[in-house]
Amino acid sequence: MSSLVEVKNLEVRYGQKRAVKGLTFSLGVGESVGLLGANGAGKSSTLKALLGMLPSTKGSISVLGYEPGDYRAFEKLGFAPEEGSAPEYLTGLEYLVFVGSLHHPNNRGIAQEALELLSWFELNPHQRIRDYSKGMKRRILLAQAFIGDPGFLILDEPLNGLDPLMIVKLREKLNQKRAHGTTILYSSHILAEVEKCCSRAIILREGEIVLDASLEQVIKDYGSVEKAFTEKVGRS
Amino acid sequence: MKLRILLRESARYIFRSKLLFLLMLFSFFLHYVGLNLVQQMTISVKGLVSTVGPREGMFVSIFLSLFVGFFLSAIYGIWMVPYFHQGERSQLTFVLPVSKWLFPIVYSGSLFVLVLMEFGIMLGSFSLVFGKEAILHPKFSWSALGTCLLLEVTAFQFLLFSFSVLSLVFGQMSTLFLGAMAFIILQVAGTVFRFGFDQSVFYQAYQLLPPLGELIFNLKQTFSQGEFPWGHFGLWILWLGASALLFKRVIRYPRRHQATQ
Repeated sequence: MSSLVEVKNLEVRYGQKRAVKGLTFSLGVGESVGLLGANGAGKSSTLKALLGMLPSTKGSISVLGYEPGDYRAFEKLGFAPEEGSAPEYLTGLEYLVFVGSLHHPNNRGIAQEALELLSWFELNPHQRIRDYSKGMKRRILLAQAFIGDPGFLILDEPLNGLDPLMIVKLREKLNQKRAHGTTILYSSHILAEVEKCCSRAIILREGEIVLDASLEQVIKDYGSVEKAFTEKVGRS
Repeated sequence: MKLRILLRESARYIFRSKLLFLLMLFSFFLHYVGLNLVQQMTISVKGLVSTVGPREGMFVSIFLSLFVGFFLSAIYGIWMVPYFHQGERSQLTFVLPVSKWLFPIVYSGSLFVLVLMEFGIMLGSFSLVFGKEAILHPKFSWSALGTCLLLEVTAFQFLLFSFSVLSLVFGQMSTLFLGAMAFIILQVAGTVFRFGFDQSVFYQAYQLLPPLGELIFNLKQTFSQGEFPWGHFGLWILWLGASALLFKRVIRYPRRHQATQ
């Protein structure tokens, strides 16, 4: 399996505090990896370092063969941040068409794809984003990560702010994407969800990897992701 | 292609923010009323009374354009450009699949178009007040006007990036005050140094700063004597390049909102 992401000995600091300490892992094409950890474990910092949003103080990162932050890697990946706000003067449709056309400037079908995505996420395409509810604003963040059908998805706490029905729908969508070979890196603290849509789990504690194994192996060794998490993170 | 998409988006943002509408209204009001007032003025020198003609009127127009342009650069640089690169929106802008170089190009291009529109309003108001014949007259110096506007455009572009950088780093209100302070200091220095002190260390330092305090004098010299201030223009270009580079550096990472907002 060829690697989409190679992280070697990654260290990220906020001033004197080391948020990520010597992380080493790789992601293969078509893998669906859950990045787990308690609050402050370094999940978001790891994702931000992968995307080039944070400078790493040590180590090396390669994403789709590029340095972190290289726009050529962004052409092939979709990212949904944990928190964010799409430009509020745009309608949902205008925003997705804007993002989609930057990913695929020559794709004339991008408006149709945007309409389908908005319908799937139950969003009004012609309503300004400023008039969306909190839940809708959350869903447009997810929708923009899927536009252009990227081969690599990075989702930071994607279930935050979603209602239970949308969580089920999103899980199905992610499983479909995974079946079609999309690579997914998924940070979450909802362990049961990770168990349902990931093929591998990486558990972080205080910026270090304490477990990196296939889901099959985790279930075999610990019985469930939750038990593995409790044992490795040290909380009951 | 991506540049075109970003420029189109920038135009939509400007249009929907109502900046374009307000600019046109403000600019027309200032030019039309200002020129009407000037036209009604009479100048008395040693008992000789004369009215303000089209030539003096055009210089007043250039001066008013300078004022509108400063205002426009400040609004666009302090409030509008940081909208995409700061706080909740910054991560989404950061992962757009475009080179970070395109952003300064897009903002510079957008401001350029806005400034051209402002110049259009300026010429329109001038024609309304002094008549179309004043512009079409063979003695009307298009080259003097063009060189003055070139100086102004370069200064506005520098101000745009400086305001954007300061706004992203220090916040919007701090930038407004810092900008106003720098503006006043440079204007006062420009006037004071005309009365001597040109051997002082302050003057040596002043000569290396953006020639904001010299701009009005440069415009007057260019317009009335046709002498283009190549030295100051070169300094503007250097400062513009430095501020654009700094802007690119500042958007290298997504930025948090500043506390002063």
